[in-house]
Amino acid sequence: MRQSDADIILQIKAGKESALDYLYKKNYRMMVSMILRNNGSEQEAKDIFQDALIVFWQKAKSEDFKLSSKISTYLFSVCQNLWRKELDRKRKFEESDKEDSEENTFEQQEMIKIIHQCINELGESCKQILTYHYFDGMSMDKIAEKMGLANSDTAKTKRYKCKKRLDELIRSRYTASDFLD
Amino acid sequence: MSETNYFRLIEAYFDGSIDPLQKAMLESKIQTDPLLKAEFDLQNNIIEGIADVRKQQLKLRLSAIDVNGSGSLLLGSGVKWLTASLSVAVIFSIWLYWYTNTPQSVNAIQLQNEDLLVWNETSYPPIPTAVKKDLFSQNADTKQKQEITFSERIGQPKSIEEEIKEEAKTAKVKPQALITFQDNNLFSPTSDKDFTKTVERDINRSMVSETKIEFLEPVEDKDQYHYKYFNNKLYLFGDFNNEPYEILELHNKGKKQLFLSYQQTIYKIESDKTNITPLLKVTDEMLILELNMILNEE
Repeated sequence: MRQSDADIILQIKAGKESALDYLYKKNYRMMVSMILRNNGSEQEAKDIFQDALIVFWQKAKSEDFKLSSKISTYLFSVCQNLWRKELDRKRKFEESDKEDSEENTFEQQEMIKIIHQCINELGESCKQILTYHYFDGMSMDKIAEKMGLANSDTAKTKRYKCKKRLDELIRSRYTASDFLD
Repeated sequence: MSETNYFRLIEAYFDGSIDPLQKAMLESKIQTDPLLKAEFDLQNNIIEGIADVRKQQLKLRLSAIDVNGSGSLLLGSGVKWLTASLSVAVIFSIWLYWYTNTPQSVNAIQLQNEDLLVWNETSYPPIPTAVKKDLFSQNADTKQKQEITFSERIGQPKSIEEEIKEEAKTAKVKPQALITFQDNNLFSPTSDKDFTKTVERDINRSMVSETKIEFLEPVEDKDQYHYKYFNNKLYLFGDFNNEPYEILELHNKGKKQLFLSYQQTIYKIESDKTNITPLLKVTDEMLILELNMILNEE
């Protein structure tokens, strides 16, 4: 069933991930074709398009978001920009000292890996409240409503405890000096 | 401001609750305090990590979507339109081919034959049946011309039923047009009875015989007649002076069968008898009746 852009925005604001599914299927061929035509592989094209959809998801959830074009046009522009950045990153990587870059990338990857492990060790409700707050930018009222918590203060307390727990987990794996090296 | 307060500022920074003045102070401090910068980078990585986890969740969800046959609706509808257009074009081409190859009119076919028969069938286009071989099988002895004219009906192709009707109609006309001898065994019957059966169907006669006849003395008994036949000449042995005789010669496709009528009796003469052979009477009553009818017509 075809959905209007306004309907899709409303669904995204309500946190319905099925709206993303619809946009993905609807625009997949057009976006992937654009990247394939610009020296991208199909896997790269998929990644870029998925990233663009996530950017759109985050933008659409913010209260001051106003769509000034069709969603497909917006997505196309985001895909173009992301792909341009990716090409720049590749070019810079080739031009730079590969050994230094690889070393820095390796350290960064190790740190990110530990952070991800620690996040995944949190309970599901902690993961949810942290992602709602830091990724989706939801207000405490909305988080409380979505998670069935008593009120925004309860949500705020829970979010604080979960973040503290995560910090402790990460610090226990890595000392400050590790990060400073 | 104490160190702890700076840590709280970092937290406020990532919450988005920090005011511009505090933000400027924090950024300035980070430039000079490596420990604070490390804490800031750690918190930045943690927040990015949380976002990455959520992104990975969404990307996993999207990757699970089957995109085969999907795409932009514009492209999808374009393919559908293209498919539909091609289908219509193919159907139209088939129809056009069929229509242009269906004969709208067929020039009259002039068939010269030995019977003069004019058959104007304007409402049927029976090309296949018109050229049927059996239609032209006819008595070689019949010196007639046949003119058959077919006119193709203009318009729609014939249905199977129509063709069957045409076939039936053609079959009815055929015996009226010509007398045929389709059975090659007609002139080689094994018995009078068999012969009668075939003659019953189609028979033609000609009293104009090219067979030469020569009369000879009886071979044995005076009352017994004999014959021999070769080189298109009939030799009759016996006394044939009492009454007139008649020879019936029936032809089909170059073959002929002779009968001798003498003194109210009909004899059968076989054409391959080079030795003197007794004349045998035709005993089949039906055949005798048929042959007498022919004789009486004359």
